[in-house]
Amino acid sequence: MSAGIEIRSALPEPIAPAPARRRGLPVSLLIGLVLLAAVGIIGVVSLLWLPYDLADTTGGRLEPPGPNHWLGTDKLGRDTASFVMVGTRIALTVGLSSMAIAMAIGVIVGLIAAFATGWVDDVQSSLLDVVIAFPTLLLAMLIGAMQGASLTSAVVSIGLAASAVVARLTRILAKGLLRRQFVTAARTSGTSWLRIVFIHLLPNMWPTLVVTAALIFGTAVLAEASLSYLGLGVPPPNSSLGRLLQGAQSTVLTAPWGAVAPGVVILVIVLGANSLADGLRERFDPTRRERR
Amino acid sequence: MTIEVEDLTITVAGSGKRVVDAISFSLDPGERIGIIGESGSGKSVTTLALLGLLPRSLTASGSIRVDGTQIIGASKKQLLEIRGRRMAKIFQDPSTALDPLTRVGELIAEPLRRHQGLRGHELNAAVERALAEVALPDTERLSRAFPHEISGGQRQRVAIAMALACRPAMLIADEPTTALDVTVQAEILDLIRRLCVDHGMGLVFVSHDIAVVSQTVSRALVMQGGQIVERGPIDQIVHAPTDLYTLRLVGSARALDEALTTGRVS
Repeated sequence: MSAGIEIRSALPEPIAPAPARRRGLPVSLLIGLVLLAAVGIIGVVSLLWLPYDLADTTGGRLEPPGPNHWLGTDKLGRDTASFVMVGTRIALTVGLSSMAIAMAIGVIVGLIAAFATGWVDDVQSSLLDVVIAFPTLLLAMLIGAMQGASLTSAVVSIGLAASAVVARLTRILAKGLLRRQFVTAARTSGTSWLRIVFIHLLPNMWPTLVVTAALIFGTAVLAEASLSYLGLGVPPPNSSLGRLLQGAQSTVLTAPWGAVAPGVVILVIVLGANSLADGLRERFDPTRRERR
Repeated sequence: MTIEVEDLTITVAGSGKRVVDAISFSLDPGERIGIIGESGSGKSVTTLALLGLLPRSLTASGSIRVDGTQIIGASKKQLLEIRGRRMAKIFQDPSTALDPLTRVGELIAEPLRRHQGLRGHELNAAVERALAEVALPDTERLSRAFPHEISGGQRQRVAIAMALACRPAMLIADEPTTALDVTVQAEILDLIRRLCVDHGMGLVFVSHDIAVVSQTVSRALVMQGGQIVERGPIDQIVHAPTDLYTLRLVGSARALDEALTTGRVS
């Protein structure tokens, strides 16, 4: 038998699509997408149309949900649904922007840290550990308190706090990849470090990073709600889910709808983000990918 | 391409331990030499030094001249110029030397795009040619496969195609067949030898297996403990070794061979 025939027989079957793809998307990915799409639509609609103006106090005080006010009114006779819609938009904005900041800073710092050696590496990783040991919320509160409460300071503080987690993850992932032989192979063929980062490191890290980004989005939304609840988040006249909760606290027994509505939205966003992350992990995890 | 190594010494930073101790050898254009030695004899580290790729924990002293260019202390730009274009390397285990998330076609296209500036149809044609040259069948389907979707022998062929994509004048093969089945081993050795002859390419073949080396090269160095203990034409090393260590290497290879032909372990 000639060598050529042997090789042909050893060739695998035509590359089949991944089993995951054949079975359709993972359930958790679908659930996550549906939940986030729902709140996303609410957020976009709030830009174009609101049932009532936020300053409109013509409704009765603490009216229960009805045809005029779907989610009732608050102590001042304002429409809860309008406030929840704007609050949803703010929450999504803060979540997405903080996530973007956290990923951008985290990945860059993590990659730089991955290439460091000796004492520079030690100092960098200890610094990251200190930042991570500091609770995200506490750090965000500190930055918020120093800079004064605003949408920007909420986004920046949550983003910075979360970037430490991304940086450490990136550093570990990149360090692991740099030890792999295909990186050495790329070096021997004359590939510069910058190219190696873009064609070997980032593509091998991105499944993990995407999952992390989804988790950070959920955490950021929760952090914004907590900050606003404490009065350190997005200030009035803008609405915020956390502040809605705080405002409805005193009337929670007589008019529960004021607290339930923003609470449900927070729950839906965080649940959506977490199941999206789960679904993405199932779909993209490189270890699963290699096994299929 | 000529390589002249003089008094190459590689020391471990900190402990000062010499992993390679004042070795000298040279290589003429198109010549094939073998470096034989056990694990830890310094043979792999020597090949890394040829490419200026020693890890930061190791320092080299002495002289390595590649076509007259001094490698020790060379600038990054000089080294990037040499690596891949004039000297390429293939590794022991092709399953770890290929990026698992990059398709085979893209793996081979990358150096072609970077070094030769090929794009579009030209690039695709060059990738197909590179795959066909290493005797890979069904190149179109193969170039869409991920490394884990092809066999070990095919992976090593892909690694060879990647290394040869830019027509280097010298190939460094670091135990390229150790991780492969014996039958596949013979095919890969044939391929390497054929490509060297076809392109007039020099070869540094590193192995612990004297039988494999003797099929591939004309001249060899035997390394032990960071020093060259014997050198000469491969026939002489196999048939009339002078060094005690080489004698033992050849002896054990012969014993294995004998056991195969007679079916008895002597």
